[in-house]
Formats: sequence, C-alpha cells, structure tokens
Amino acid sequence: MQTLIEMKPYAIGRMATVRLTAVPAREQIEAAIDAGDEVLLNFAGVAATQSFVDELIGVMILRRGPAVLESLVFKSCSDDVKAIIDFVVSDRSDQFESTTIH
Amino acid sequence: MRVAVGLVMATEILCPTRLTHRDPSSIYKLCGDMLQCNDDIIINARQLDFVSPLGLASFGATIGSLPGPCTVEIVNLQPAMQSYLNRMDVFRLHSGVNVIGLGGGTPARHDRKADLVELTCVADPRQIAKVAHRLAVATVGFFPDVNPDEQEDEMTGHNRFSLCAEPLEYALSELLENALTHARRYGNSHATVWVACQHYPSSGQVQIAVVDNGCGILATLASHSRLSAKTDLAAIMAALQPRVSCNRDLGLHSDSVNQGVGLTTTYRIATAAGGWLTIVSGDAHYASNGYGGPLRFLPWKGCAVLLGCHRDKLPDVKYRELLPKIEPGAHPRIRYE
Repeated sequence: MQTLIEMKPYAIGRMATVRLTAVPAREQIEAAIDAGDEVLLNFAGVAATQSFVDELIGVMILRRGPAVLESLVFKSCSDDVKAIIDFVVSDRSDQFESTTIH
Repeated sequence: MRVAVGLVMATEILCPTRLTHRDPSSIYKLCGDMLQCNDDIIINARQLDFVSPLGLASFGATIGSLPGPCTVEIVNLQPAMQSYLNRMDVFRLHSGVNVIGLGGGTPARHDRKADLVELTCVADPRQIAKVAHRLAVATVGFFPDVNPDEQEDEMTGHNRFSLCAEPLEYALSELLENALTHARRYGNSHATVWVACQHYPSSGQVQIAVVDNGCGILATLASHSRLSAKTDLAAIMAALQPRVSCNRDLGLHSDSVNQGVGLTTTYRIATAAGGWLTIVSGDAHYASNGYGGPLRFLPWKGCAVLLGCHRDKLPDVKYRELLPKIEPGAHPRIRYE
C-alpha cells in the first residue's frame, strides 16, 4: 500500500526550512514504513533547505541505513530540491557505511 | 566614567560615530564597555550618525546579555538617528532592561521610507521558520520593481519576488538555526539570537546580520581535528569549511546531528548574489571581501554573522550549484517521479 505525504503543509510560503519543522513529517514517514507502506513524498510547489531535508530523510538513513530509500518515492521535486536530496542521501549513506560495524 | 544621576550611579560611555561592519572593533568596544558596567548605563550618542544591521543586532545581543533590571539611556541622539532607532524598535528590546532614547532636538517627522525591518530577537527554535520567512518577505517587499502579486511562471512556479526572497529566507533560516544550536552550548543555555535586515535603495545592497551572545565558534570547535590552531580566527576559518561544524563525533544515533554545511552554503549564497560574508567571534574578524583583521579593543563572546549581497543578483542564486560536491562512487538509488 502507498501513503502520500504532502510537504506543502510544512512550508511557510513556498519554503520548508529548519529541522524542527521536519520532525513530525519524518515521524509520519517512519510510521507508514513500519506499517509496511511505500511512502510518496510530494514536493510540488515546495522549496526546501538542506537542514529540512536532512532532518526529514538524513536522520532515517543514519538510523535505518540507506535501504530505507527503497520505501520512499520523491514526487514533483524541483531541480534544487533534487540536488539537496541527492546530497543528503549521499552524505548520510557514506556516514552510515563508515560507522556501521559489520 | 561613573556619574551620579540623582541618587543612582550610572556609567557613561561615549558612542562612536559609526557602528558598521567596516569597523567592527568600534561596535564591540561599545558592547564590551556596556557589559563591563555594574550599574545603569548612559550612552552619549552625540557623534553617532550611522548604524548598520551588524551594529544594531550586536547592540540588541548586548542588551540581552545585561543583568537586569537596569536602564540604558542613549542621550544626545541626533533627530534622524533617534527616529531610525525608534523605527527599528531599539527602545522596546528586552523585558529586563529599560532602553530610553533621548535626542537633542525634535525627532525627524519624516520616517525613513519603509526599507527597514525591525530588530528581532529569536529565543525559541520554533520561531525560526516564521521569523526567517517574515524578514525575507519584508526585505524584498522594499525592492523597487518587484511585485509580490506578479503572476508566477507556469513552469517554475516562481515570480521575481519569490526568486529574490527565497535565497534570503534560506540563508536566514540556516544562520538562525546554526546560531541557536551552537550558541547554547557550554553553559550558555539562555543565549539568544538577534537579527537585523536592511535594504539600501541607492546601492541596491541588502545586509542581514545575525548575532548571538553565546559561547562563540572556538568553544564549539576546540577539539576538532581540522582546527589548525586554538585561535578564534582559525575557528572561523574551520567553520567555513563544509562538514566541520557538525557533530559527527557524537555518534551515529544522536538526534538531529547536523551536516555542517549551513554556514558554507550561506557563504556561497552571499557570493553567488554578488556579496560577501563577515564573521566576528572572540577577538577575530573575518570578512570574505578582505576587510578582516583582529578586533582592536574588546572581543565578542558569541558569534556575529553579516551577509551582504546585491538585490539584482538574488534571482541568479541556484542552490543546486552551491552545495558541496558529492563524492564520486556508487550511491543509493533514489526514486523520483
């Protein structure tokens, strides 16, 4: 089953900023993943800072590993948001791999 | 100099002519002199004729550091300066400190055209997003030929107003979050952050100052392996490098570990918008446009950041070009629709 989470409610105007704002969104994502759902994150009309995106998905990657991305789909992202997501995913995945004891 | 004002002792301090980023030593001498006072303060402002956002925000952070209750009187203000400080809400700053402005004449009737955004204190992280948005929108609202109600482009969803406001909002939110996060360490849990913004119509310049009265950059990086020397200047230079100011040594499972790129990205926003970054912390003053050097008189315990840029270049800022480069190699697949 798929859960759709809109990013617009977390933005003021067009921008989603600061870590604290992303925490409830991330908790919603994690609850859906734990329930076995695929999560669709809709970024239509939303710009975001690196801090927001890092709190949204970077923290999950650190806790659960990059495999968590298999449950996520990012919809209607601008080129800037895609670049920020790419950076956060790459950076946090590298950090997870380098600090995880196999 | 201590003076008797009725039955109360006060310390009189002479305010310099200008409180501006071009001479931060004068700003932090005034602030340091105020912080050394044990009684009410009288600031003789007869020479004062210019205050920039950095001066204003630093003054606010100093007021926020004073042990209340006390009174700060700013006397002999020139009418235009009194009007300006009144407009910036300087006399309504802090509940524990009474700030009074007294001019030598009648305050100017003509309030400066609204290209000023009031001095704002941020003490709660939950305020940051709204404050950053409000200040960015208010600042861009003063730009000529930029209409917030302009129709948005169908492809991008942007109009010129949002293209100008979003880089400012991005930088403000990152600077405010950085400041509140880092400043409150090492026994500084009550540190606050002060922000002032101004648009200068004749030059097209925008200045944003974010000043905290917390522990300073050196304290947060003292044990970092990339700190070349235990000096305030070395700490500032280290903080400007990506991935230095984060707390990766706290371990994998610490909540909200930051990535350490907020200040770096803000610096790149400033330069992409034809501007510069000035940072003051401890006894060091760094300016990316070459005006830096050690503070001559008194240090600033916290951290002060001033971003300057040109309004016409703000729409050219592309965040995707400003992030640190992704290391080459295999990366997890990301599904985009």
